[in-house]
Amino acid sequence: MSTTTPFVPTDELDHLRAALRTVLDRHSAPADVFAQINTDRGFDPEVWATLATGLGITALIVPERFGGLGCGQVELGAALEEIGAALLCGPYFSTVVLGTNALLLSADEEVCGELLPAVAAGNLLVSLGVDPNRSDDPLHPPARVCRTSGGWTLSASDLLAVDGMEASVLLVVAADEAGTASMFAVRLDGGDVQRAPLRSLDLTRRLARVTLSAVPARLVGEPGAGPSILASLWDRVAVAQAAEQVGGAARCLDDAVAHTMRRIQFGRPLASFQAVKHACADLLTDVEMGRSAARYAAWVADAEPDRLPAAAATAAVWCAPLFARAAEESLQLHGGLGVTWEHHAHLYLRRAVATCHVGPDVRYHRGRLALLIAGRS
Amino acid sequence: MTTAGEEMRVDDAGPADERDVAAQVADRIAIVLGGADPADVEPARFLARQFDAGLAFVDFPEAAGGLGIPARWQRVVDDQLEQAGGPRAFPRNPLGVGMLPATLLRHGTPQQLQRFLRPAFTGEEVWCQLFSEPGAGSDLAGLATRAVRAGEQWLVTGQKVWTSLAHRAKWGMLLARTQPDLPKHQGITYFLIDMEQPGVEVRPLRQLNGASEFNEVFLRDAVVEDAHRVGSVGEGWRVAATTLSSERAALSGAGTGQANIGGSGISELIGLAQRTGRWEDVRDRDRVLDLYVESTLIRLTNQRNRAALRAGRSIGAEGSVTKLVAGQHNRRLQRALLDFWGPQGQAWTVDEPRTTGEKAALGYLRAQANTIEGGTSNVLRNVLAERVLGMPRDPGDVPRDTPWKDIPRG
Repeated sequence: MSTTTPFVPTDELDHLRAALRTVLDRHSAPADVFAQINTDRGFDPEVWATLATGLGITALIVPERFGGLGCGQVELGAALEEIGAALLCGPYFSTVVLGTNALLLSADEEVCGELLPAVAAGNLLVSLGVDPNRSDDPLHPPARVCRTSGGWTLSASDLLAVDGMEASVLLVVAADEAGTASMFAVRLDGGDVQRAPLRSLDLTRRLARVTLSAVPARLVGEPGAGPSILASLWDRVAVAQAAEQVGGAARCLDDAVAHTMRRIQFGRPLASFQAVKHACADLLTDVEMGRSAARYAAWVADAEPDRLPAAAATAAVWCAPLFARAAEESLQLHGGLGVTWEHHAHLYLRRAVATCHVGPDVRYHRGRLALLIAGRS
Repeated sequence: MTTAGEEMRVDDAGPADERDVAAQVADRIAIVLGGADPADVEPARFLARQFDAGLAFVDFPEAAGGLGIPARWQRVVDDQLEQAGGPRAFPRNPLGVGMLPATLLRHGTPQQLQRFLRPAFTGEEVWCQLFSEPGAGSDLAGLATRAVRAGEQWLVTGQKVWTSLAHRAKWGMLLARTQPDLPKHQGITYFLIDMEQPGVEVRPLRQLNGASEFNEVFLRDAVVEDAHRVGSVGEGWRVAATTLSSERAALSGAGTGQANIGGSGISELIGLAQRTGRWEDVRDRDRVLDLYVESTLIRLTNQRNRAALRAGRSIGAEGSVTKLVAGQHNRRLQRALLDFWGPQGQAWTVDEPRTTGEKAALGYLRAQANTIEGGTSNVLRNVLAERVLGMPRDPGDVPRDTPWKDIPRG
């Protein structure tokens, strides 16, 4: 499925991007995003249905034997560049990026066979529970399990879950009394589950706090494989986030150029001032470098997965600060408009800087990359 | 990367003309390599054989010495011949091989192609480029070197600067002003000038690191044949645009175009950081990490650019940004190397041979030019903003239709 070399342009990828962009331009323009963040659920179910079942976003990386489209991280990355650019509101990050990848990485055919067909069809939402206060140790199991006669029960306090109020299934890594950490699946619509929505800096992504008290849990994947599944998952999350960040940064730049071309002061467009042009040229440079990082890492994930750690870390180290800088600079170039509520610049800014809840922060990736390059030389 | 061998394999699934081309190229390569071992043949003679077999510029029409096949086959040919031990033409004559052929193909006469291409390719006639002047750097179109018609010849007077290889060149690609009354872009003509004549004086330029890679060239009634004019009188700016945007270097994988930026620098920095203990300092480690990431992404972006070209796509923004970022990157990298060398990067005993520490100092100095040569980073940013992002030019410029002679100079 993957090409032998990275960056090969294909008609299929072009079509995917174009199809997504058409739908997103129509249903996830800034006015739509503002409308959706004010709803109870934080997204428009009809728009979500169009993207999930109509365009197959939830089926994209699900293998064909589970009813999916069988695409790889390259295709997902192409989709996420568009989705990130449009700040799509909808439970895709949890279900597609976290849940589907975690299930696939578990290599548990039985659980995948039970859950992924419904995920692909857009009928099941899956999230991942993490400990928000342990971002310094992203492989640390945030939950505990006990063996019972019937199976397992899982307990955890104050887990953080993206789209946690919408998800039906939560994946979480838990350690037993011996310290063996494995991945488990719990249903959020039964047992002793308390979940509450959180207000968050990022208005386009809904978070929930989840407490589980001896909830029945199903082992997913091999016993003891929890940390290694998480390590691989965080690499794929870094790749996915990099794509979103590049898409978002590129859109911030486009917005800044468009605004400064229109805005006239001192008798001419802001865009004709060299300081403004140079700021945009520097952003363009950084965006294109980020695009290379994100697309390369996606290709490595599909074609040379053993080499993913370095490529994923490189993408994370560049693309996270890139998006934050692009969002800040674009806001700056919008002048007074940029600091109003009604202008969408702050929506991108919030998405760009509120990264703590969707994966390890950049320090984790910097630390790993430093080890990798030290070992290589 | 697909290897030359893979691309050469006769593929039953491919179109008939692809198989014909592959067969033709294979035949020609066999002719070039046939008989003697390339290592035993003098480079100029080997390159002559390559040229005569149509393999120097395979995308050129047969009448111009090529095979008329897609340009991507050049890489296949070059790789195969190099693997067999043959010399590369480009390093021996970078301007004569990298810039002249595309220019002559597009704007030159059949006689000029006949006369100049082969000896340029073999390296028997080295070329230089006489464009920049002390008064015309970023504003190249403002150039003042004057060419005045005298029968079937032109007499050229003026001064050129930053001319690489002028001391070794037989020929130069020259831009001169032929019509001072016209707007600056319209009164320039492109010539091929014989560098070995009394009217041409070459003087080396000394750079801040002590090296002399470039020259000044003084032209005093230097003679150019009208037969060696490329394009019409007054068409020189258009011809120069072809020279300056010559894609051959990119397609042949000759690198980023910034000859002074080496890929080994970051490995050297990592090793140096570890040996000196700097790696244990989190701030120094971060500095190295950021340079590592940046150098990786420059390489990947060039790769992405080449992949787009190979797929027949037009280059997007990725084609323009690496020049800007590579120059800045190398300055930061060289500064880090200098810093990490500490005292050994700053002082040496009088009779000490040049150590790596001293090379780091000189490398840092040389790198200051990376954001200036080949287009300053200031101008590059303008180009990105105006040509890629479509933002408007600065107002208040001298109107484009102002006669050149009325434009302030200094």
